[in-house]
Amino acid sequence: MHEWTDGLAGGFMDVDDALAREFDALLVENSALAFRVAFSVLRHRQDAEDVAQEAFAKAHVRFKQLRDRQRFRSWLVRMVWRMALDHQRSERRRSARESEHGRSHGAWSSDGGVPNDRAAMLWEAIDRLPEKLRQVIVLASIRGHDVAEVGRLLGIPAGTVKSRLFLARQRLKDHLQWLKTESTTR
Amino acid sequence: MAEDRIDDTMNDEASARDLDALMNVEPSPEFVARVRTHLEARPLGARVPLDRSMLLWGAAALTLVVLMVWWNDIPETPVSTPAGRIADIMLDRPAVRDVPSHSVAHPVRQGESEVLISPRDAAGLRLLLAAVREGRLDSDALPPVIEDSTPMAIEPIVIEPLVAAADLDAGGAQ
Repeated sequence: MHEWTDGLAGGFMDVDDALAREFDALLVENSALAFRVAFSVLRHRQDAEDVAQEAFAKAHVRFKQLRDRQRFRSWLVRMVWRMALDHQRSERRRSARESEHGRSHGAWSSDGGVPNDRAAMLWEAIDRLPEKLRQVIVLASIRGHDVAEVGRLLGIPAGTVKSRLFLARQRLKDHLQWLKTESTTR
Repeated sequence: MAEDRIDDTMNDEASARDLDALMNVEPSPEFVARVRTHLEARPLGARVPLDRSMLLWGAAALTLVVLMVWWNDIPETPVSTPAGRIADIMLDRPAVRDVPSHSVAHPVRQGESEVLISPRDAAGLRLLLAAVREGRLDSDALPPVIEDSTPMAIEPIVIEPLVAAADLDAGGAQ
């Protein structure tokens, strides 16, 4: 009897261990993706890491339904995006406190060697895009993502990604042009 | 595929480069370790703890379901019984008495209409008739019967003869 119960407990332990290992592998593989998606909305390193961490915690709870790699990635991207937007809204409500700490909406770190004024213009232009176009341009700009991968992540056909990407770039270009002329006339 | 690569399709090279630089920011080196530590406290697949009010509502709903099931177990539903079966019940025939009270599988005799009677009513009728037959019926327990000492007078119905009525019609016509 003891052998049987020990065997059963060992079996459960094996299943849990296997799940934990699987989750850890997906965490390592997707940590940068989750962080980048959150950062593209929040433009703040610490907030982006907090949001990505919370998204991983949610995925951890639901991991038995998300064991498939592709499903996990697309679920994670959508979850991080939504949570980052929620976080942004709540942060905006506390704008008075943010300004005290010098954390206004545009107060991001100038990562990647882009000059601050140029980066500010780009973010502003991205912010003006409708959400669907913004999602596509953000995910397409992340290294290693082609049209098909963006489509898989968002659950839309590759053709739709292409058309949205074209539209997003056009609008981005127009906004940037407008912002440039605005800044020179000032 | 080469044509699907996003970098190749960007019109504005400078914007593409800047976008790439802005979006491909790395998280801090300790980020993964921090997430691992955060998750260690939670067992894999652990559910969010239930709110106390949810538990109370659940218990209330369960109690209600149990009560409903228990209430439905009481044989209150009337049984479809043919008229002949009522006669059997009244006569308290032994062959009929053995049939379970909730059974509805009594064949309807030809020309008889079906009457709905509950098993409780059937049992009551059976008891009443047995008591009457054996003289055990306590007449004091019965509701008082209104007795009228004066005999009921029924006036005879007078029907006019048809001939007289026909004569009357003929006279009116002249």
